[in-house]
Amino acid sequence: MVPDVATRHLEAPLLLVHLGSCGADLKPALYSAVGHQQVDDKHVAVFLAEAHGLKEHVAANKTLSLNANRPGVNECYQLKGPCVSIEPPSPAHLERWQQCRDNFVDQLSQMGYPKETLTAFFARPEVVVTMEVVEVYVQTPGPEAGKRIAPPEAV
Amino acid sequence: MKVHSDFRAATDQGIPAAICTCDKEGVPNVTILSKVYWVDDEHVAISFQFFSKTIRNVRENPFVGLRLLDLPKHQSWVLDLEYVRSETEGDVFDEMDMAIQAIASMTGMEGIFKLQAADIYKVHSCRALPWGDE
Repeated sequence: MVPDVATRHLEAPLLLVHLGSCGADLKPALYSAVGHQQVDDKHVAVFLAEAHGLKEHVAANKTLSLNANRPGVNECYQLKGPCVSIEPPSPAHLERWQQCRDNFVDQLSQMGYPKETLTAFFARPEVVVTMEVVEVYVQTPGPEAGKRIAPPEAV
Repeated sequence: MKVHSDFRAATDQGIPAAICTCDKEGVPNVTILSKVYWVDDEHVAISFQFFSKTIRNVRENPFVGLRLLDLPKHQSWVLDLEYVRSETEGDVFDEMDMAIQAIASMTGMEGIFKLQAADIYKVHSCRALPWGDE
């Protein structure tokens, strides 16, 4: 279950999301998301404009890692769990992608980044990857970094 | 493998990079790096500040994936790396230490960021993915 603090984090208008996978040869791959959506209290969908090799990785190792970082404030969480599906985006996904893109461009352009550059980064998604969230970790730099908050660590 | 010269310029843009490691069971771990350091045509360096999951993974499985946004060129750099060694003194360590203290000062993280070692990685591949074609 995604804890409330992570849900609020995923709803932040400015969020940089990366998805990690692992191949059969134990070599990792990393993908930059162009949007994301919390589907329900156990699932998160990630929109990728490029997913070369991801299906092969998931066939070998189902577990994915999602890093959600708020640029500028150093707040960061990592979600881990099995891949549930990899599918083409639906019209509803594309609507959400545009919302993510608009939020991202609006927020970062206020920090001085060119709108053209920010819009170019949010290329149209090729696939939507849905993962079940089994574990959530704090990654904000500081004393709590690395702490698992879901399920809570045993005291 | 030669590191592309444009990648070196991208490491100086001040954009954080993302790094992915895996443990022996194939579970990935993704985290954000404040900076990737160019060492020479075949190596980059990454700071070891905390004994984090990233460091634990790299010590048992040396393969690493890295992504860095190159905003002026509208592309992402994608690198496949392999951990080689850790350095606790020398030019790379000193440059990294100074940069980390500067970043800590700018972000209000003084006393939290402390360099333990400069981890040196061999670059197996270094390619640029234009955003529109990703």
